[in-house]
Amino acid sequence: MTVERAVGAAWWSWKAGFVASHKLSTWAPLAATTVVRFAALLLVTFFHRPEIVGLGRPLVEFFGGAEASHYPEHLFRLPIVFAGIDPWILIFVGGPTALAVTRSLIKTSIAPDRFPVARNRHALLASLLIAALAVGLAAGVGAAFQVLPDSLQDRGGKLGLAIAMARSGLLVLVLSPLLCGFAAIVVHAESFLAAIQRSVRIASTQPITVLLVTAWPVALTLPFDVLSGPIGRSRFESEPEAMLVVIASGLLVQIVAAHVTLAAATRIVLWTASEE
Amino acid sequence: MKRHAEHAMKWLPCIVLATGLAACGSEDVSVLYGAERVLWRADRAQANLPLPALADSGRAWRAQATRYDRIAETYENWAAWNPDSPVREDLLGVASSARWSAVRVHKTLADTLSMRRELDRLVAPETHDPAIVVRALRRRADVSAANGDFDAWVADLRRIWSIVLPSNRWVRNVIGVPAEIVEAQLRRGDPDSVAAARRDALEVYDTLTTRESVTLTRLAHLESASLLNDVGRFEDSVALLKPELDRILRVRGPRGDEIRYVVRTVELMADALSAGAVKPEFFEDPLKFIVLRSFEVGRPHAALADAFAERGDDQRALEMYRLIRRKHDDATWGPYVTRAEAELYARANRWKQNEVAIDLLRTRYALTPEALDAPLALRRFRADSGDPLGAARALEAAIDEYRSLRRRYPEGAHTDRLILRLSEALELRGATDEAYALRLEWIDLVRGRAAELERLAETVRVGRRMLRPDAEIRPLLERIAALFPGTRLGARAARELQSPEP
Repeated sequence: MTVERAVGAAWWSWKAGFVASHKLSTWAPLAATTVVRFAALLLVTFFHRPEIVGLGRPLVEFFGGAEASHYPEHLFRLPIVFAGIDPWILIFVGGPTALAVTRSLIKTSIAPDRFPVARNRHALLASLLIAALAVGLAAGVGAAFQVLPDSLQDRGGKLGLAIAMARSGLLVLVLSPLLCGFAAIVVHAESFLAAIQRSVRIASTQPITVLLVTAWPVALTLPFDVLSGPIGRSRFESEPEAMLVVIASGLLVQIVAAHVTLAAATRIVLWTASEE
Repeated sequence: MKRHAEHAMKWLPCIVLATGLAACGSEDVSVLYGAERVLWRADRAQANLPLPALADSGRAWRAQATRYDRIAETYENWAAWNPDSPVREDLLGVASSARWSAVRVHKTLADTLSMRRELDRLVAPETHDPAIVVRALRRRADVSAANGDFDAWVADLRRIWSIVLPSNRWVRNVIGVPAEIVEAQLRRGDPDSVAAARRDALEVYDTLTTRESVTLTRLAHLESASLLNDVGRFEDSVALLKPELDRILRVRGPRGDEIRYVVRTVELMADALSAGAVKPEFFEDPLKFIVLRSFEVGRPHAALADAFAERGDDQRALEMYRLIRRKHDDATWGPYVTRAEAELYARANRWKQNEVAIDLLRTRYALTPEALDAPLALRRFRADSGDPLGAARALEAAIDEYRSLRRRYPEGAHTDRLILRLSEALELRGATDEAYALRLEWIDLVRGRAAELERLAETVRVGRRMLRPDAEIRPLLERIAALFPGTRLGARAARELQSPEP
């Protein structure tokens, strides 16, 4: 496949994603997940409230350290604390959500007639495992950057931005083989291993398309990731509450990014299936 | 009804969980978090206050002090009402920080009365963190020392010592406190109290040497030696310091505190050299050691050179100054050394060399404090050597030079000193009108800052010395009374203004 064709395929997938987004019902599962994530964010933000301090404070101190329960350090470390909780939500709620969105997209807007959704008894387990694998790989990328000296990790400015971009680039590379996993479970009624195999196969045959589609949500959320780090800390030094706004905005943007990406991935899987 | 019951049963675990969470939480953490936020906001607000502090008669800064005071009050009260609260200590920490910030604000306003009031609250027993209490006591002792309140000064120093005594680390940080008690008694001027305080201090330092801390022992020895030097017991001082000095000089890779010990010993022994208690050869090895290993090379060498000069051993003193010039950073030590050399040459009536040194000060180190002092120093050298004509000529030259410097460099870090020296020179010539006008200009340079108080008071003194009319001095007194009502000088100025003949 030529580069132009690969880029064209990516564009076509995104377009399909955007077109599919007019069906409000396809947003419902993502909205539900976002509500859960917002609830978690509020829990660790307002941990000091008497009603939730019993649950919130241990969580904040566990993920952010003892200093994280003191103002303003708490708000500066909020991204770290939330990053400790969020992966668990993404595994247990995000996996099934991705499954539900894909199913809904196929049923309602992408291919309601041509591709009836297959029944799959192991779909839930497979989606949980794919989500866990994706979260694990993302955590691995984060851990890989932990080997950098502290002086580099805490840097703002251009170097800090370059490090954040390098991390995002690596994340795209690592996650792209899993892009079509959820769609494979729904379209082909495959188990976890078969879905992963198919997803890797698609990524290897159409690497540019898959990389571009995976890069989209990562690029969209990159500004929020950057602002959650040392750069944001120095920028919002006098207004630590802005960290909460950054995280919340990031969550909202992630809904759109996730929706379009899932739609695009479904398109790619359906397209390869039709070619087979 | 049954359906309702089933529905309720379904939600029961959630209700139990929510009730449990609500029950186990208290508002303590919320109060602490709020306190931290309020204090942080106050600190941020302080960064935006107008500078200088007295620009708007200090209104904004006084409001900031009140804000801190209110924060401290609120959380001290909360802690008092909730003695069993798990966050009591943390809240008192917030209150202490707020009070400490209020102290700093009052200091900026030179409002010693309010500062003292805040400090009194901070050191109230069983309220605040010992670290803060020690800091507050230290600050209060400084205020008492400045006000000449010797009993309060000594009492605070004793309290600091009693708090820190159990910890070697804390004692190390405030090791000079027993010696400062001696200084306080010296300033009081009661010989019996001085002798008793010195005896107590030496005993205290002697006790410290029994603790298992080599660093503490060294520090205690250095403090004891300094006290012994003060009463001329140089032999005892040498006997105390020499064994450890010899040991360190033999160490292959000495640590930082060992190097500092050698540096300080040389400085202390320089006093002994002035008194003839040690021979110049005593310093050979320590100086070699210092030159090789220490960053603080200039200070001990300068102390020793000054000691040689004091003994009248000009040749050795000059050699030492030249060594400092050779070994050390010219920008830091050059002006000091050149100034000292000029003084030595003048003392020996070597006027040619003296002029060379003074010229060097003027050219190479222009606008440094030493260079600015040089023209007037030259006049003093001449006057001291019994050459009134030369002194008068030097004074005229000094005035011309200061005027020329003012024209060429109207503003900069040197301006304060330059104006002051020109004013002094003019006063010596009897041109008091211009000298007094320059003093007023000198005050304006720090208008609105705490330093203004000292300059106003100094100018009142100088004005009286120059026999300036009351109409000129009165506005200065009024300004002191209006801007610094919380200070000793402010109160005195107000009294003077009320009396018929200030």
